[in-house]
Amino acid sequence: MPAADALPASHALAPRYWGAHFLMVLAVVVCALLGYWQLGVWQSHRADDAARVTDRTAVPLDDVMGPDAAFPASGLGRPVKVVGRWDPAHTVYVADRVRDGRTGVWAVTPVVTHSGSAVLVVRGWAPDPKAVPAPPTGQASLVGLLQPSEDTGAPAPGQHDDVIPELNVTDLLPRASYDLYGGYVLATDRVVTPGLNVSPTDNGMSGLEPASAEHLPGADATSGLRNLLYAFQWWVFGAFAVFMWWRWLEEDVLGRRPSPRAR
Amino acid sequence: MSKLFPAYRVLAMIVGVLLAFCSLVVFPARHFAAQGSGLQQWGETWSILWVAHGWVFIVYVAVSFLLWRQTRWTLPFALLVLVSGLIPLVIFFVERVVTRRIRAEHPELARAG
Repeated sequence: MPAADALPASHALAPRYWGAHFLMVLAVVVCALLGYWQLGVWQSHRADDAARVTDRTAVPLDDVMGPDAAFPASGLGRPVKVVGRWDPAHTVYVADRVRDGRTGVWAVTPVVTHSGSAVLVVRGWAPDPKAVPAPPTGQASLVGLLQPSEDTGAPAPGQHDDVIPELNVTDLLPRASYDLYGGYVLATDRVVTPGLNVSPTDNGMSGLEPASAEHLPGADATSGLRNLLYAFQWWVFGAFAVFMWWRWLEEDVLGRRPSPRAR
Repeated sequence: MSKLFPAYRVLAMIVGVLLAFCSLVVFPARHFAAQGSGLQQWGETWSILWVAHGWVFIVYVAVSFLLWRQTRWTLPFALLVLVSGLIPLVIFFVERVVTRRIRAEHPELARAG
């Protein structure tokens, strides 16, 4: 079709084409929403998988990882029972921890267990170190989620810095006379022995907001994969709807380009 | 010369059979059979075919679109052809109408292949 026959773009705004334009917009909106819905289903599948680990019955820490042992892969996110004595003098604060979109610190206090080694316990989150109540003393008994020592390559803090960039067990090792477990524990409000009345201060969480685990089993790779594929399918459809609308407009409405095989 | 029309017919059949099987056999088995029963488990397993339907349908839409560009069907008919892959059994009827129309209006497309 010669270019002379082409109509100005404003012709596409004629009321008789409004229905088609509306259908295109509707298709894009519906496809986008269905895609997001499937993406949400995919994410909740993965969250469920992670929860299957963190919801397991707590076992004594030494059953999962000994004081000198390397961090076991199966220990990631496992609830473990930590019993011992708080060591308030070695409390530190881990900087740049985000909770509900706010940046603050984690309050970390070691618990010396019967083995003579200590495990670092993340007691909770606070907006800044000044907002953290005095560390607990005496008997500690809590259920925490086991997490591996962090090593993001952040520069090691000075030996006397209270605020540290990451929870790296090796960096903290020289500070006290005892040995440290090769991971840390994130305190939860679960009680060590169900039914037994444990004083709420035993878990060190009072006055702090719970911290959330940063390392959980990355769910099985295929978990809910189908929903992720559906999500992409919907978005592909949405994009293709725009493409079809555009080609139809150019060829059939405006006569801009010849049919692939004009007769 | 063009394999578009035969490709359309094959894809329409695959989409139609997958959609009919998924929506009329697998879906009821999965959702209405007793929880944990063999039939329900079977429905769970075969529901993976929904993914196959989704991707074959994308190809069907692409091929139908190319066919539409050659035939210059009106917009409502083109939309019917595109959407029929989502409504159980309708595609079998639409495929017959398309075949009849192509043979009558565009014999060069029907002859090719």
